Amino acid sequence: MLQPEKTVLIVEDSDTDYEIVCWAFRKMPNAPRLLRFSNGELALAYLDGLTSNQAQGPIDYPSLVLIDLNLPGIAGVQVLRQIRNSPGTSSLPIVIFSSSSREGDIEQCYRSGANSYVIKPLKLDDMLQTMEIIVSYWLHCVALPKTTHPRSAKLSS
Amino acid sequence: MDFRKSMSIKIETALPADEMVTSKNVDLSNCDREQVQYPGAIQPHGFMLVTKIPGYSILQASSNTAAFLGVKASDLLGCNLSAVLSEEQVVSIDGRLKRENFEGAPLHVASATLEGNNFDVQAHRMGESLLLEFELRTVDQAFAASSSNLDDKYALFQRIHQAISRMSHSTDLQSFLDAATEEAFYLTGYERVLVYRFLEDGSGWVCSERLSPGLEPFLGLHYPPSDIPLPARRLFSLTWVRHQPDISYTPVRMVPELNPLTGQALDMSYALLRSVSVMYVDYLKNMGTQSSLVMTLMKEGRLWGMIACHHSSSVKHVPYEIRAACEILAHMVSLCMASKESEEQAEFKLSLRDKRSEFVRKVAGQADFAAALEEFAPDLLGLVRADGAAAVVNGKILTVGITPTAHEIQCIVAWLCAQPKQSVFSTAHLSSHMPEANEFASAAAGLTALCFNNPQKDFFLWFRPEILQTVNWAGDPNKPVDITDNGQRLTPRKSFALWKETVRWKSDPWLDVEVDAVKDLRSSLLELVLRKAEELGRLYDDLRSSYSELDAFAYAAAHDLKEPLRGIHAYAEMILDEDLEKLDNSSKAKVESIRRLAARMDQLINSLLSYSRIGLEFLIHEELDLNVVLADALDSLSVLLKQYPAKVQIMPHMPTLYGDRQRVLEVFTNLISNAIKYNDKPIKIVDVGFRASEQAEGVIFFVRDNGIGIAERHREDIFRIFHRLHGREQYGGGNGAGLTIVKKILELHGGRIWIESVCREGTSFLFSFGNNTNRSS
Repeated sequence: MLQPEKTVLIVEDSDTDYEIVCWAFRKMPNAPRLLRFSNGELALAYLDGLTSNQAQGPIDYPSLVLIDLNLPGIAGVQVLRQIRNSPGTSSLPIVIFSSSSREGDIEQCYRSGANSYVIKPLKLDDMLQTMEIIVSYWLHCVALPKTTHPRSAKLSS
Repeated sequence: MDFRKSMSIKIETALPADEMVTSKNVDLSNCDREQVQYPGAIQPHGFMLVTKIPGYSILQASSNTAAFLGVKASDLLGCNLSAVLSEEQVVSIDGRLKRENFEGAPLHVASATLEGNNFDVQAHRMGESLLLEFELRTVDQAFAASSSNLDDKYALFQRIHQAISRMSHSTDLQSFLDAATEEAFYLTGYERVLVYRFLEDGSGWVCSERLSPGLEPFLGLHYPPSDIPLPARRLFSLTWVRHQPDISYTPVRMVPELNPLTGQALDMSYALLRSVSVMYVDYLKNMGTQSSLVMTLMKEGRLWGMIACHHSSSVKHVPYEIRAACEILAHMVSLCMASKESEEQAEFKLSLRDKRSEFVRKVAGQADFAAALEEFAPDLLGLVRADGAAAVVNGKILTVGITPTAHEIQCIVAWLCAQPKQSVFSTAHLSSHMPEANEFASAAAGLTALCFNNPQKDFFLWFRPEILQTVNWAGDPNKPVDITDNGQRLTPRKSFALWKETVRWKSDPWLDVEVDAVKDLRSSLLELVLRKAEELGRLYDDLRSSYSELDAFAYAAAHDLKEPLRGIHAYAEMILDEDLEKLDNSSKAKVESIRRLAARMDQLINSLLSYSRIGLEFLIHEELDLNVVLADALDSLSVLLKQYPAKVQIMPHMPTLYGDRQRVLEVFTNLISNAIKYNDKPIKIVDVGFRASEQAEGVIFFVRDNGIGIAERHREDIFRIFHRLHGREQYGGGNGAGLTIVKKILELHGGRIWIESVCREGTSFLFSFGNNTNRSS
């Protein structure tokens, strides 16, 4: 049975980094769909629209959110917090995807509710491997609550 | 101005008769208690009548009235004063008495011609008695000769005017006193005029003298307190001028002896004709004096000294006018002397203050307080009058001038520290406090010490040497007496020959202004230290914030570099992955280079990041068991050790350390991995251990290898970031940041690192973590 295509929402301002992620996704079999926002405001507005607008098709609900820390406008940590604090999206799995290896950053993200923190690798091979692990883990391996789905969160509340 | 009032001092009531020491029973053992104000007799150069107030009936008369009036004293008793003076004079006296009260020193109330003799009549009251003294008027030969005529009052005024103007032009106390002596010499015509100054203990010395030619000078001589006993000193302070025209007089008794109103001897404290103590007469006679006139010098209400005029060649009468002039002179000298003395002190104080502010200014100009004190220690000598000075700062002793030895100074400091807390200590006789100070009295009989940092035992010390203080006594002060031929009365010594007394272990005394100057220096220094500490704190804060700004900048820059770099690397890889067949070999090699260079740059940036991060992140200090830390280090090196087999030997029982676990681990991992990598020996040996240090840090660690060694000239370079001594692929690679990071971590812990190495034989990295290390078993 063909699995319905899943969506990974990515908040990434760097075109280069986005292209690298795209490259990795292209290499993946059964790669999920990537939905990119180049800043936090747009991403939050999109998620907010999902929970308030029932007309959206199921394909538009992200199963996983990847957030770069260093963003123009609202910082990545702030985007993470708002997603966590908003009832409609509070149980979305969020992976922080950053080039910072600073302990302070890592700790702050986990405190703010990140599910994982991944340091962007330099080599393409490493990037591919990392992406495969993330996708297979969060999209295929683990069971997630129904409320993860923005609409069901909306309906149940 | 009524300056008589300023001298009025309460007179004690008489003691009961049986305890009284009077002219009848006085000797040197009791002369301090002789009731010199109750002599019951007068000098013979005039007569005295005592009348009742009011009414002026005569109560007492001196027994010499017959000689002057042709009437016996007993016949005068009960008569009215108008029997002697004219009716108008009595009325005039009565009028003045009512207005002026007449208490204290006598006032000139009348001139009278009686039986062909001229008299000056002076009056003062004692209770209900009016004492009238009739003083025989004489023409003063000396003065008459020098200035036409005594009746010419203007001549006298001019004389006084000149005296005052001359004295007021003198610049210092000594020349002022010399001028006063000179003026008194001309004014009185006495052969010897001297200024006698009392010291604290009642002794005194001659500090100024004017002599007729041929006389033996007394200048500089000291006299024991018994020479002018307390009652005499007290009477001196009651009247400005006392005059004994003829020392060898026969006292004239009062009739009756006791005052009928009081039933006691007449109190003659203020009387001009008062018969003086036989002790004083003997004393003057021993000096060869025939006639004396003494003016009192007062300072701030206390007896300061006197101007003594002695005449030895003849009896000498000084008339009332001249004595009045002397009184003005004595009063003037008293008033000016106080200001001259304070002026001198003020000038000295000012000069001390100038030197002090100069010193403080110099010290303040230096960044390092301790270093400034070292540099300017020689200037200490000028801050107070001293022959030597020492600064004891941070246990270091700096001396200038004549001082005790360093060891002796240490003893003094130790002694000072043991004393009750005192910011400034000053003594002219150190050995009276600290007996062992006798041994270095030649340098420090006197000490003034300033403690400006007690816990640190920081002191400034000023020393004055012992002066074998030579006091020139007029005769031996320990034997101030001669026993008269009949042995019945001790009399003041006859010998006034110079007798030198040596005072041991003492220095020139420190003046109050000097001790005050040292106290002021202390507060200036404390202020300075506080200001310096504040400055240093601010500087430290600035430095720290600029360091962390620098670290923050390096971190942000490095971080921002990573993103484009990742792109370069990724695109190079994509080309190699996807478009490989489109490239010729040369292009392939070039793209391969781009990828390789990007990878290396990434390594460098990572190093820079971790280096700058050390300064940005707080160290988390905790107790670390180094045995555990080293086990962890070996664990993390296991991959490297597989690649480069080596024998890593860790000394058992490593100490515990107070530090940041992650950072300390980094230090050992880094150093051990270097020791393994930079090693070309077939059997690589790395020793890790520690040893005790003589320094405050306590423990020194080492990581020692038998590797390639580091040449002397590179030993500083290797700690510079990205500095490499070898090719990048040689000795296991590395980016040249490891040792820089190690050094920074150690410095953040308060420690340091250095190298001992022999080329081609091995290297020892020695390091400490400051005083964070504890030895444990």
